[in-house]
Amino acid sequence: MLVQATEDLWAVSPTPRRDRLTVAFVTHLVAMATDVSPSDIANQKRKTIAAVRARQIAMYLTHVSFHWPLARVAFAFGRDRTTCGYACHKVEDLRENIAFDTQMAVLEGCLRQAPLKVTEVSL
Amino acid sequence: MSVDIDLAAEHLASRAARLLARPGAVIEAAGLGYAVRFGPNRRNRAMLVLDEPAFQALVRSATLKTRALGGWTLVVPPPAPKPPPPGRPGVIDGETVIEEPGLGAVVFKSNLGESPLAWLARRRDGKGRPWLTPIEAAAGERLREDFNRAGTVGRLTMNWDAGPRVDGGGPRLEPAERARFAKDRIAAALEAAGPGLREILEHVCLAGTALQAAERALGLPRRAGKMVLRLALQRLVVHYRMG
Repeated sequence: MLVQATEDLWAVSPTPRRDRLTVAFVTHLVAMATDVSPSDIANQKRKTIAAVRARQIAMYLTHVSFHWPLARVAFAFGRDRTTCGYACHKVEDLRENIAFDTQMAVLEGCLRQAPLKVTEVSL
Repeated sequence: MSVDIDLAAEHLASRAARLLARPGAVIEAAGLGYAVRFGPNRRNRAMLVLDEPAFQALVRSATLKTRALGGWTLVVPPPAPKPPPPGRPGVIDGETVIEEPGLGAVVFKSNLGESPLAWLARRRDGKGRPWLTPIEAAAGERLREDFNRAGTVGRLTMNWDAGPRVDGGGPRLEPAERARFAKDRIAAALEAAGPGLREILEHVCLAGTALQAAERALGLPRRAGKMVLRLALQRLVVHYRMG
């Protein structure tokens, strides 16, 4: 029980290294869509309002597309869990705008095509 | 104006349906609206709040299921059933029992439509004629049926069937008698085929070996087995008076 609890506490994600790759993928996707540089999105500081919005979109997309819990998203982005929760609610509220909603649907469709792990490629 | 409201409700409902498709997502009444949550925890802020028209649009467009602990979940339609595998003409899946020298009777998977005779009857020679006429193939099949009958024991217990007797109700053959008569018929047929041709019949019709293996066992030249088998089957046709 205790072991399980500590595992839950410390190992937020089963594959942290792969999660970082996934986050980098989403970040670059959002960077392509919003014209903000990926380094600005991954930055710890609020560089510009556009960078903040792009970061929120990236967090939201990760949470919604991959069905990760907020703690895992936060761990992968190196942020606080509540920051991610705020971002997700913010973006979900922004989706009331139909144009924005369409854009997000396109990005979600793109992430749905993201490659799964290929265990063994037979050549 | 009303069209705009309807469109907004539809949009909200589609957003809610998208969120509810996530496993574990719940929609439940909260205050004056309906809250969509990703988990059962009611302390978290709702992901999306629907008003009454949007909820009604959602009910119309999607199937909601009542949840035991309150609220509703989305019923995700089951995936379409997989189409059946494509047909394979000429293949009948079955099992064959073969006596192995050290192991006894071993059951093998086999294609029941692929007896050497059936294969040869389906093949055509260079001029488009089938290698075996239907009568020749039927004669071979008849010999094989006799062989099966000679090997099977049949019914040993009392027959309590209440159905009408279409065979005249005469005395039945004892299983041993049936086997005995089948063996006699086989012996007569092989006798009629003659000493040079009965071996290939024994191999192909009775033992069910492939033509190539029968050729090898009998010391025939390659691809001569077909002709020899055909001659033997023609003798059988004459013997059975099928021609």
